[in-house]
Amino acid sequence: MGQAKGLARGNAIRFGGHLLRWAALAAIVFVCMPGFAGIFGKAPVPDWGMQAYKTRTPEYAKDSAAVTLYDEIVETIDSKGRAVEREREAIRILKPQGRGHGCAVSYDVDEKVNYFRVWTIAADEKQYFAEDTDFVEEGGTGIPVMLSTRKVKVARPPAVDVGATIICESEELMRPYMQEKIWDIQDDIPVVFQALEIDLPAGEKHWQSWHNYKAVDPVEVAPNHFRWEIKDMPALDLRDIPSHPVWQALSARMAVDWGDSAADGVDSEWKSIGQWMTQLEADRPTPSPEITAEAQTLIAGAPDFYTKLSRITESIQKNIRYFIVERGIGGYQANRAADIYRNRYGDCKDKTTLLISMLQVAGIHGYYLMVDDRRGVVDPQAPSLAGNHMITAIEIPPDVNDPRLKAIVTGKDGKRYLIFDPTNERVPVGILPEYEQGSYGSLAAGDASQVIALPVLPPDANTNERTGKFTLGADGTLTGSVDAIRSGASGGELRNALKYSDDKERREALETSVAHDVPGVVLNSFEYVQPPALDKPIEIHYKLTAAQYAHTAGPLLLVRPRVVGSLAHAFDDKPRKFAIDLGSTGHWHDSFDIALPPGYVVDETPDPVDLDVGFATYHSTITAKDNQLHYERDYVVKKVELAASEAGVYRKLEGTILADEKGTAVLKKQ
Amino acid sequence: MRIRPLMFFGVLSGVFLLPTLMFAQFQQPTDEELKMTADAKYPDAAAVILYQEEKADDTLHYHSRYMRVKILKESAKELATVSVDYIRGYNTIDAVSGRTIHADGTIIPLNVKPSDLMAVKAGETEIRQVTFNLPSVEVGSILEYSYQVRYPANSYSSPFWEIQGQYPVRKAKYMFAPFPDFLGATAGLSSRGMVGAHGEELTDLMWYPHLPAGKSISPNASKRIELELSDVGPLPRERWAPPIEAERYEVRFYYAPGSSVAQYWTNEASYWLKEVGRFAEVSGTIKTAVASLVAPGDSDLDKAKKLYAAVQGLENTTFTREKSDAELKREGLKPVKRAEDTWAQKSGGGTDLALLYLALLRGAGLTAYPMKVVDRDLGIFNANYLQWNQLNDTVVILNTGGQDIVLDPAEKMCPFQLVHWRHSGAGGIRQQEKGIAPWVTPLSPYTANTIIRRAEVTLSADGQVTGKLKFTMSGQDALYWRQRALRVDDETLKKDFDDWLKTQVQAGMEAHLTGFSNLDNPNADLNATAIATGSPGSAMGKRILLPGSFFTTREDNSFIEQPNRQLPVDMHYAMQVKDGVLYHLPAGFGLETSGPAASVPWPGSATFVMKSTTNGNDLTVMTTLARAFTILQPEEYGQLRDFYQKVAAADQQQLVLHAVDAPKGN
Repeated sequence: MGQAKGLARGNAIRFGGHLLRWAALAAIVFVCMPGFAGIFGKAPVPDWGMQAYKTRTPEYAKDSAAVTLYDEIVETIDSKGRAVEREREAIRILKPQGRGHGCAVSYDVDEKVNYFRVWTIAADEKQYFAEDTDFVEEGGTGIPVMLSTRKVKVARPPAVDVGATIICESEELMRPYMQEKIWDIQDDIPVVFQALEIDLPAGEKHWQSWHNYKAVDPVEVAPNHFRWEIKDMPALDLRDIPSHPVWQALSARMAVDWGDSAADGVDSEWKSIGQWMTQLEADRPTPSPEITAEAQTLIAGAPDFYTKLSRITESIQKNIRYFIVERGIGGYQANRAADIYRNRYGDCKDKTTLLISMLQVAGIHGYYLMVDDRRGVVDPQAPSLAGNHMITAIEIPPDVNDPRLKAIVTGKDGKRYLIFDPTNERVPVGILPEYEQGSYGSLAAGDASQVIALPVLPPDANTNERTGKFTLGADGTLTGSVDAIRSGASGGELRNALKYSDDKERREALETSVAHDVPGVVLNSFEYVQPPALDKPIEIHYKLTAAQYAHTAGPLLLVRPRVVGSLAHAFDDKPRKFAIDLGSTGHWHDSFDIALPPGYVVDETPDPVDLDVGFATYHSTITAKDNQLHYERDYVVKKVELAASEAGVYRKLEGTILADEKGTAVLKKQ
Repeated sequence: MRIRPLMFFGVLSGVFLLPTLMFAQFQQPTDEELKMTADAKYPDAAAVILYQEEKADDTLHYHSRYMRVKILKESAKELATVSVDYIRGYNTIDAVSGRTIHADGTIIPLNVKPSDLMAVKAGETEIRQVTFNLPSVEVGSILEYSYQVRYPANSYSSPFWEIQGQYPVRKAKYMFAPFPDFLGATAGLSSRGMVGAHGEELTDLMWYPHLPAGKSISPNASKRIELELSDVGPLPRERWAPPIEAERYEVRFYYAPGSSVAQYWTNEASYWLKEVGRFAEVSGTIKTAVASLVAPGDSDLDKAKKLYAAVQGLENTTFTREKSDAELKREGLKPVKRAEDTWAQKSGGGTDLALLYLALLRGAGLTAYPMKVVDRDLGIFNANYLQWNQLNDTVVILNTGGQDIVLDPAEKMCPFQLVHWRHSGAGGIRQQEKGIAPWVTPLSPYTANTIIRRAEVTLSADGQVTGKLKFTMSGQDALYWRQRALRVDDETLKKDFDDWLKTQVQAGMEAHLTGFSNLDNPNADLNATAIATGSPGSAMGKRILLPGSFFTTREDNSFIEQPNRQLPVDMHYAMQVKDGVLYHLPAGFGLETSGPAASVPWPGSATFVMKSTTNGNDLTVMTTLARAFTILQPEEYGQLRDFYQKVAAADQQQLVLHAVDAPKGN
C-alpha cells in the first residue's frame, strides 16, 4: 500500500446546496460537492429529474421556504480507495425567501469535477437549462485570515421563482486520500427522499455510524454495492429557540468509511481515525535547532511542571499569529514546525504542531486532538472526521498533581491528559475555553488513539467577582465605583476582546454594557488591568455617574440595588424539544453598597432569593443598615448543558434571576 | 490588509515601449521608529503607517505600492497579510518583496512565495488574488513591503487614492503619470480611441480630490500629478454617520470628454434624457392605457394618483426576480425597450416602472420630469465629481399647481407622495421646464413617518401583565414591513415582526403578532396587533413597581454614551412615536404617587412629552417622542445628546402601585 493510500481517510461534509452554509468553509475541514458547468450543451431534463419533479410537495413542507424532493449520492470507489461522487438533486422553491436555495459544487486542487448540470422546471412547467453564464465560481479569498485553494461553483439557474423545481446533477473525482463520506441527512429545509450508495470493489469492507438518527440498514443492490434510503426528513429550524446547541450538533448525519479507514466497532473506528492523523502529522513537529533553543530558553530554571508548561504555551499563544493556509490535504495536515516557528503564523493545526514540538524539547509528550469548537458536533458514538478544530492533549506525568491543571481527563489507556487549546490566545494552560468543555475529541496517539471526553470545569475555574460602592443623591443621581475581577475562561474572553480593541472601542463597549443596566450613565474613568501571565485574573475598575438613576415618586425614592450586571437569559414558555446550552459553568458574585441620601430611610425591599435547582444555585439579599442599602448575590452554574426535560426548572431559574435583577427598593423621606 | 483594486483599466489602441522601471528601495528604520510604542497624537492607534507610496505610470504600464507600517497593538498584526486583486489575463503582480523588522532591528525577509488564488470567475472574466504574509510579526514590528501591478502597453488607468483609512499616516506620497496628451494644452485633442458609454471621446484626465486643508493637486512640468501628505488622521468611526466616502480624504481619477462641470452634467443629462425620452415615449399604447385608467374630469392630482396605483400594481422585479434573457425568450417576450413594453408585460424593474409612470403622466397631459438620484444609504451626490454613475436610482417629479411633488414609483408599496428615505434629501440631476439642473429631493417631515403604539393591559396583584397591543404605522416603517412582506412568506414575516416586538417592549415582557391589516394596501395605515404577557416590573409585599413607559424608546441610546462627535449625524428620516397605554389595575391597588410625567423640549428639533391620568382603577400613560431632524452637524451634537439624556431619564420613571388597604410604611 502506497503512501497516498496509507493516508487515505474520510470525506468531508456535503453542503446541501444551501448557500448560507458555505460560511462553514472557514473550518479546517473543507467540504466537497460535485462540479462543472453545462459542458454538454443544451439537454432536456433527465428522466430521474422528471420523476423527482413529479413528487408532490408534502403537507409537512408547506411552511418551509423550499423542499428537497430528491437527493441521491452515489460513491463509486476504485481499487485504490478513491471515490467518484455523483449527486442528483431536485429542490422545489416554496416561498419567496426560498430562492436562495440551489446547487453548488466545491472542489480543491486534488479533485476534478467531471460535470455539473442544472435545469429549472418553472411553476408553469417550462424547462430551462443553465448555460455557462448561469454559473459563478468563487474562491476562498473572502476570509481575511485564510488562504485556501478550495473553490465553489454556484449555479444561478433561470426561472427560480416560487413553485419552480431546480434539478442538479454533478460528478466529481474526489480527493485520493479520503476514504470517508459524511452524509448530511438533515437540512434547514425538509427532504422528501434521499439515498446514499457506496459501490465498493470486491472484498472491500465498509463501516458506518449515525448521529442523531436511528441507524438504517442498507440494501446490497449489487455485489458490495450498498444503498441507504431515508424518507421524509424534517427540516431542522432553530430560529426563535433560545439557548439551543449549535445546528450541526443537532442535525442528523451518517458517516461511512471504506478501505483501510473502515474498522469494526466504535472504539476501533476512533482508533483508526487517530492512527490516520498520527501518520499524517508524524514528522511535522520535529524540532528545528531554533525551536530547540527557544524551548530550552523558555524552560530554563522553571521550578515545576506547570511553570515549564505555561512558559511554552504562553509563548505560542502570544507569538504565533492565527492564519490559515489550506492547500489540498493542508486542510488536515499541519505545516512543519520549523516553518511555523520561523514565520510566526499558522492555524490551529500549526499551533498544536509547534506546541508538540516545543514540548518534545522539554521532555513532555503532546498529541493532536481533533475537536469541533461547537459543543456536541463530535459524537463519541459516531466516529468520523466531522470537526473543525485541532487542539492539544498533553500527557501529565504520574507525579504531577498541580491544582492549576484543571482540564485533565484520563484516557482509556490510563494516562492523564491535560486538554489545552493553543489557538485561543487568552485562556491559560490548565483550563479550557468554555465552548470546548463537555465536547469530545479524537486523540491521535498512534495505537493509543481514542475518543476522549473533554472536561467540564468546576464553577470556580470561571469566576466574576464584582463589588460596587455608590452614593445616591436626593435627586436620584448615583455616583460610585465598580471593581470587578474575572478569572479563568471568563477572563480569557475579556482579554481576547481587549486584544482586538483600542481604548475608544473599549470605552464604548464598557459604556454600552453598563448603560444596558444604567441608562444615561457616564463613565468618569475606567481601567483594565491585565497581568502579563494569562493565569492571573484580569481586573476592571470604573467610576460612574448616572443622573436620575433613582426616581422620585412623591415622597418616595425608587432605587434598584442591583446596579450593574445582567445574568438572566431570555427563555420562553414553549414546549422544549432540544437540549439547553448553558454556555459555561461559572461562579458570579456581586456585592453592592449604596449610601442613601440624607433624610431617606428604606421603606420596603424585595424578598431575598434562595434557589437551588441542582445544576445551579442563586442567592440574593437586599439589606438596609446604617443608611446603607446592601445588595449581595451569588450565582453558581455547574453544568454546560441540560436535557430538554429540564426546561421547566431552567425557566424557573431564569425567571427568578430576572425578577431579582429588576427588584427595586422603596426609600421614603422622613 | 485587503487591498482593493486600485485603478480601473481600459484599453487603448496604441502600443508603447516598456522602459526600465524604478522600484522603491527599502528604508533603514530610524531609532525613533524602532522604539516607538504608541503614537502620541493618536494614542488609540493600533498601527501607524510610517510611509505609503503609490505610483501609477501609464507610460511605463505599471502601478506600484510601497508601505512601511509600525505595529503598535496586537489587533494590527493582521496587517501582515497583504492581498492584491487583479484581473487574470490582463494584469500581473510582480516584484513582491517584503520584510519584517523587529523593534531590536532584527530583519526577517519575506521568503515564502506569494499565493495566487482565484477570487471569483464569471464566464471568461476571472478576478484573482495574490496574497502574502509578512513573517514573524509582533507588536513593535515594522512591516515593509512593495509590489507592482503590471498592465499591457495599450492600457490606461484611473487611480483611486484612498488617503484616509483606519490607521494614521505619517507620510504619504502619490504619483500618477498619465499619458501626457490627456493633460494640459493637448487635452481635448485626442482620446487615444477611448470612448464613454455614449460613444463620446474621453479626451481629458479629470480628478476629484477631497484633501486636507491647504492641499491640492495639479500636473507638474513633467505632466505628472504628485501629492505628498503628512500626518493624516484616521477616519472617524461613529454610528449613525452618513456614507463614509463623503468624509474620507481621497482622490479619484477618471476620464471625461473635456468639459466644464456644468457642461459635463448638461451633456450627460442630455444623453440620459434622450434615452428617457425614447423609453418613456407617449405612444399609442401608453395613451390607450391612460385612457383606461383616468377619467377626463379627474383633477391632475387624481390622475396622477390613479396612474401611480396602476404602476404600483404591476410586478416590480426589483422585489421579486428579474427574468433572464432565456426566460423572456422561452415566454415569447422581447427585452423591454419602451415603457409600453413594460406596460404590456405588466412587469419591470424599478427604473423601468418609474419611467413607465413618467410616460403615463405625460400621456395624461401632466407635467412631469425624471430625476436621477443618489441612494442616500450608499453615498452623497457630488456635482464636482464628474461621474454619472454616482447616481443610482430614478424618481419622478410631478409639477402641478406650480408645485413639485416627488414620487417614487420604483419602490413597491411606496404610497403616493412618499419617497423611500434613501431617495429623500438625495442629490442628483433633474429635468425641469428648461433643461436640467442639480437638485436635492426634500426630506420628509416627521409627521409623515409615524408609529402609534397602543396597549391595553391588565395587571394582576403579583405584577403579571397581560393584554393587547396595536401598532399603527405610516411612512417609512410601514414601507419597511410591506417591502419585507414581498420578500418572505407570512410565517417568516411574523417571526421577523416578533423579533421587532422584542425591541419595543420592556424586559420581562413577551409579545407576539396576532395579525396585520392593510399590509397590502400602501394607501392606508399599516396596523399590527399583538398579545403581550410578562412581568415588566416587580411586586413586593405591598407594592407593585412598573416601568413608567410600557414601550421602549425607539431611539438609539448610543448618543447618550458618546460624549463628542466628529461626523454629522444621519438618522435617515424624521419621525414621531406616539404611545398610549391603558392599565387596568388589580382590585385593591391604587397609585401611591403621581403617575409619570415629563416634558423635554428641543425647539425646532425634537420633543418628548409624557403624561398620565387615572380614572377609577384605570391608569393611562401617554407619550410622544417627535424628532423633526434627519441630519445634524457635529456642532449641534451637544444639544442632541442633552435631549436624549433627558429622554432616557424621563423614560426610566416608575409607577408605584400600593395595596390600598395595606398600611403604608414599615
